[in-house]
Amino acid sequence: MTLPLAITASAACSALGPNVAALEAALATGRSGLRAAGPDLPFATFVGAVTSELAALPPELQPFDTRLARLVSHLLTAIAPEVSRARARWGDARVGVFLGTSNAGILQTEEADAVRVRTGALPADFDFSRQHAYGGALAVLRSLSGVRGPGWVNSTACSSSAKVLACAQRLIAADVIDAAIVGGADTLCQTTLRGFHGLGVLSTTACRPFAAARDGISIGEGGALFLIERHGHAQARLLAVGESSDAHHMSAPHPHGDGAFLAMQRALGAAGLEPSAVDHVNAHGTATKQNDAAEALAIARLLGAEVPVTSTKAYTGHLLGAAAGIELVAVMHALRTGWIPANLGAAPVDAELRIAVQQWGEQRQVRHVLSNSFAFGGNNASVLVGAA
Amino acid sequence: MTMGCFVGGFGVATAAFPNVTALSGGLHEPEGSAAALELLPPMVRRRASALTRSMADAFGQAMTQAGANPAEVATVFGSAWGETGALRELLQQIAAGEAELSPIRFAGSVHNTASGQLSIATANRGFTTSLAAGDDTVAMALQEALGLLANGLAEVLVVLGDVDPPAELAGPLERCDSLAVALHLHTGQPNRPRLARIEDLHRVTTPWPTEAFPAGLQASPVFGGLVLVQAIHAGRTGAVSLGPARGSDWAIRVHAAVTA
Repeated sequence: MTLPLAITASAACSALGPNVAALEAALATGRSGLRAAGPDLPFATFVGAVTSELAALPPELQPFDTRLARLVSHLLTAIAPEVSRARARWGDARVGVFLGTSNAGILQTEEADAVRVRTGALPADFDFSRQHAYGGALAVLRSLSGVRGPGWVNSTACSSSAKVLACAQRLIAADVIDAAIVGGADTLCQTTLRGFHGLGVLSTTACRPFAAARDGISIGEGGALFLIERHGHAQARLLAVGESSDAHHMSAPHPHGDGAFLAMQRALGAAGLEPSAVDHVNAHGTATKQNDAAEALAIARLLGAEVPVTSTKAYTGHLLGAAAGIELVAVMHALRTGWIPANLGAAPVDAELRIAVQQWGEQRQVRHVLSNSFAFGGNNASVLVGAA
Repeated sequence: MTMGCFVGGFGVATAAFPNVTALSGGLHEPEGSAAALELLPPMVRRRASALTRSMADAFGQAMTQAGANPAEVATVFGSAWGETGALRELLQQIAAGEAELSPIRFAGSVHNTASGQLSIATANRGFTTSLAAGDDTVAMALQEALGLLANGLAEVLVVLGDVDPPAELAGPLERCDSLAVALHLHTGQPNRPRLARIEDLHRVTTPWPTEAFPAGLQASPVFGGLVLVQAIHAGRTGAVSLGPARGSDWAIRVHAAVTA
């Protein structure tokens, strides 16, 4: 049995707005943040771009300045009072920091490389270690938060910010730390958009998870941070994270959803809960034909055809390494309010999928939610969250 | 809390020294070791990046020495830079104005490429992860592994690697020799070697000089993994600094070969 932990603070930033309240309002009203991508792309697609102003880093952290670092700084500011309280309560060395990201600072590197190609030299302020590399945003998070416990960036593509929750849970259970700042962040960039376009899985419109006419992903940007503590005044409880590998293909899911099934099954097993205890699934639901079909098979096999399933990617876009983070905010909203958000764009639902896709928002009793994230490399994580 | 475990096997792969046997600095063929496992299918290996190939080589050596089943072991991959070779090719495509990037290069550009390729190659449906922490990458990969062992897993393979980043993007102090190191860790399984015990991952205030390795290896973010392997193989007892030569404030204590 895993150790249930208190999620005591949360922050979010996405195309829906700069904070948790903006995300929750959109979930309540069914508002999507997806818009047509700008003219810098040579093809049509929709993206979830963060339009909120992200403040510059303090002068001493200028060498680390990237859009990702500013995003992380923005998120940390929103939970700064709770982090300060946790540092005082547990001690700086007993608070860890775990960040999920897939792209890290690639956006900054793209911009710097474009300058190099044009002028023959990188911008004078480009710093590979501090801006491009995965550790850059982590260093910013460490410096701004003041925590000194263990910490790292988890980068398993689209499961990154689910797996950091497990990292924190394991180290708290092992008595290495008592609390952790955890979450994820990713930014839009040419590499991601043109890469998914090369794979032929980008939608030309706002994505429509589980719809019969779904035609692919909408990429988004943003992130979420949480404070997780051994004990505390909980907004929700992290019960378990199930982790698995497809062992099938680098960029396509197992066709029967075997890895997804294992991840969900392991989460429930670790928490000592039966499948019947799950009241809602926040699906990975990227809106590709293959991904949604495989996930639906796994959900139906483990949980049956009745549990309400929503993918929230049509609200925010697919935040890649930050997807599980932003979706945990949606899960916490469902647990707190009982509101299961509509799966935007699902109607008419693919009749081949034997699951209960939530076509409209609905009030229900919600005690336990599974939130799925499946990634390149066949890397799967399913997060089980309980009400406070 | 002091967390510790046994080392059941290790592997090293660099461009100059493809295995432990060939590496200078006092490392020798591990007693009783068989030929290392070749884990990647030939076609996958031909298409794989230098980082994934070197991590696969170190992985195979460590698993062979430990006598462990690669289909069952949990794996923790650590790399500060990740797949920079694929990044370079993608940037070249973007600069050339290509709307669609190579699907193979794109899928191979994620940090967990080696983790994914090796889970596929070994038909392993268990735990795998891929992490980075700058110059603390070795220490934090070990921390993740120790956490997994403390939470009930019997054995974990840690695979560390970084390749020389693209010259056009990295500064001179970031250039390094490519290096991959693997360590099989276990909680005391009776059928696994006990080459050493490692415990007490801790911060230190003063880094100390390391053995005389080539400067290019010392600059690798995962150089501390090589120093740790050398200490284990040489049968030393004491603290080992886990960063590159430029410094990390993490160290771990090594106890020489344990037979009981």
